[in-house]
Amino acid sequence: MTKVIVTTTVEPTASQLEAIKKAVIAKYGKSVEVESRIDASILGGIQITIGSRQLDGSLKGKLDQIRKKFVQNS
Amino acid sequence: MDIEFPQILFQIINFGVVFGALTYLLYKPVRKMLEERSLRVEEGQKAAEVNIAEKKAIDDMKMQAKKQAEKEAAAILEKANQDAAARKKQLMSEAKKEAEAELARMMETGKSAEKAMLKDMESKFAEAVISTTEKLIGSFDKKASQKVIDAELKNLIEMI
Repeated sequence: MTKVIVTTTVEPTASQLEAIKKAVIAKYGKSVEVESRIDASILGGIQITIGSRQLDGSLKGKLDQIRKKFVQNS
Repeated sequence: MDIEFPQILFQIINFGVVFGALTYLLYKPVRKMLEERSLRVEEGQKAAEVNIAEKKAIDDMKMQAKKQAEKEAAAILEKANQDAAARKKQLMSEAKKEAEAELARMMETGKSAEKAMLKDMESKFAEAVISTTEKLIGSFDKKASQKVIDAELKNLIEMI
């Protein structure tokens, strides 16, 4: 069974969770357990963790990337 | 007045004796002395001429040496002037290069400082923008948050 953790700032809708579940099954072909977590520190958007792999679609992650680019250019 | 031949004969003999004595005792020594003196004078003249010739030769040598020394001194002075001119040119060239290098370094330093200042300003500006954005995002309502989640979810599903 593949464990998927979905992190958002507000409770995700059932359709959002379903879409994630379908995509993971299509990719890994296994049964999936989806756990939803609320974390205001990600500011917005969504983070999906599949096993050890993390897909970051959070606004905090995007802002951090912008910060890193500025630090690298300085 | 009678001619006294004995007396005449006596006078002739007396004159002859005096003449002979004078010739032997006075004339010859004086003549010898004069000849010696003349010889000494002649030798002296020769020696003087030799001395004059030697002096002239020495003077000529001195003059030649003086001319040679002057020539050498002029050559040394000319060479020294040329060396000084070349050295001056070299020093001027080196100083110019150093000044140009220093100027370039200062300009580079100025540019670097200006660049660093600009980057610092950019960084501060970006930090201010990000900070403001974070505050704005923090005030999102549930609907807006769901819109953001939907938008990001589309991208993430493609990455799965």
